[in-house]
Amino acid sequence: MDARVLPASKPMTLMRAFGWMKDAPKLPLAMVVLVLLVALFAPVLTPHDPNMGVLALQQKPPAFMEDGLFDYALGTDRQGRDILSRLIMGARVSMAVAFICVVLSVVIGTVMGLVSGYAGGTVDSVIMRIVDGTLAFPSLLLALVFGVTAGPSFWTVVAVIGLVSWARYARLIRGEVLLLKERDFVALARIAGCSPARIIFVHLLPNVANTIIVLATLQIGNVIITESSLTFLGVGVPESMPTWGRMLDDGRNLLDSAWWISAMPGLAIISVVLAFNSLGDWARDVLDPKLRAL
Amino acid sequence: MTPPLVAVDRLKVYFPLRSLALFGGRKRVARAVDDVTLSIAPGETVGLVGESGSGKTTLGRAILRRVPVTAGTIRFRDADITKLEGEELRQLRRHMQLVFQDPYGSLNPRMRVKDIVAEPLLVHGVARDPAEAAPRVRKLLDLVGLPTDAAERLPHAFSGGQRQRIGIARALALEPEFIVADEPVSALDVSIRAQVVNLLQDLQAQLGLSYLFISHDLSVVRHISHRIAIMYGGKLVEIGPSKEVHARPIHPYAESLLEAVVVPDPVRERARARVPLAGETPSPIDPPPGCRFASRCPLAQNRCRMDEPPLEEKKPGHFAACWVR
Repeated sequence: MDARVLPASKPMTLMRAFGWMKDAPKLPLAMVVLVLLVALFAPVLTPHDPNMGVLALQQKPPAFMEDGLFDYALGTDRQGRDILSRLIMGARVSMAVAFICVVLSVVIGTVMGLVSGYAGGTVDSVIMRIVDGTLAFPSLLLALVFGVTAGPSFWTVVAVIGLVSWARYARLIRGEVLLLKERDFVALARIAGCSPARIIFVHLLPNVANTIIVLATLQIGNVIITESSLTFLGVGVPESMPTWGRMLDDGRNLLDSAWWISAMPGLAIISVVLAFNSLGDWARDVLDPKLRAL
Repeated sequence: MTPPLVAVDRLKVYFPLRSLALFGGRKRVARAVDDVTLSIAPGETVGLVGESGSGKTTLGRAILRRVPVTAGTIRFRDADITKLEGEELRQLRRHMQLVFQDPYGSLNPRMRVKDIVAEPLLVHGVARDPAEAAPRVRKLLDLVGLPTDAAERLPHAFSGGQRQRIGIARALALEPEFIVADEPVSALDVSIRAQVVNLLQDLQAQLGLSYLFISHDLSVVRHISHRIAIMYGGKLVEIGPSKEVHARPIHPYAESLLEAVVVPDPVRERARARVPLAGETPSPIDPPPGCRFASRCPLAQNRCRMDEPPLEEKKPGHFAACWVR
């Protein structure tokens, strides 16, 4: 036995446990961690009340511009509310919506896709027709019906987005499973006497994980934008909760006079979406056994 | 004579084709395996040879009960397994295993080698958890000539020949008596082939295994097989002791197969008289009456096109289905 592989000291083990993260892209990782921390500690981080405007300070530009105030670093909106504070609170709502929706649609979509692809036949036809229906159904109409009957709330938004977006996972994963289940190792698993559940979760699921991760990181951006459309239509989260989408809409009519009202949340959305996408890219490479360092 | 381990009797595997019922078409079937009788003794290797579409793979799959059987019976250790279902079929699979052709597709790329080899033990309850299976896995890897540290790695770290060894280790995990090896060396480099074939032979000597060794290449089958069976168009056309079939083939198709084997000596190779076969394998859908090989056979007579030749014992232990010889 080689001396180098003898039991290591504690800090060494810790290093090794996180060793797989050493090649993570620094900037996106920092961005995501920052946004998550901000979202978590939002109430203590806001310099001003995000919902309380100061009438004397309407549409103040950011601090770096002429006439800007250091106290309101990113400017104020039409009602004189601090944009930075609203961004911080908005991070919380937007991240919560994004994560719950993604988890919901990943779980439903993956299970449906795996079962559909593996079972085939009638089960497959039924699930895929439901998927077709879901994809064909105008989701905004569904949202309106939901919003009007159940009233606008955080959970209405989550339910609507979650119920619509699982279908894309289901269809994509079914396609992958159809390919995978013809591979010899699945046939051998069957011959070895594996149960269908074991084949699905041990042999198929790990091999579609890449697809799921890539789709999920892309979906985070989509969810933030869908949430803003719903909010714009008045069936999103209630007025008392600032979200990035709502802020984007707030400044829509003032782009030529007070561009920062829309630009600040827009930048926040872009950087978060980009950060998640590049993290997703990296995660896919790390999970690919062929690219993993030997 | 010892009773056979596996006995296939008048086995037929027909695949239904989508019929053009709209236009009054009748139901058509592809006769992948048509009336094949074959037995394999304990410790024996039967080499099954034929070209693509001859039904050799389907026959192997039918014995392992992976395709529905249309007619005939399959017996294993004198028990009829043709209609086994559910748990009984699962138990049967402890005794019969499969080694595939493609060493890249036959191992789950996301599982470590030790988990791949241990899986049959776990699902059959031989070992309760991976830790309990570990000593057995180590022994199996050792048996197929892989280093112990292979256990912790993923399949992509191995070459084709090593992967094939992993596949063999897994197939052996449950100590089966019978292994269907479906073109196990066809995807490997020539230099590696001999190693894997030798490994299979060593394992047979150690463990008393029986093999159905499927290949399209007679020269590979020759070294490992006790008997050779040749299929053509879903039919068994010749079966006999390996040496016999090689030295004195009876069926014209067997003859042409042997002629296709390249002699590793350029002078002799050039001097060999060869009549290459013309034409294609007949379609397994609605085959013509008579001998399936008649359309390509240099010796075909009228009778060959009318009546199907039965598989007859032409010499002791050497059967062939031909009217002319």
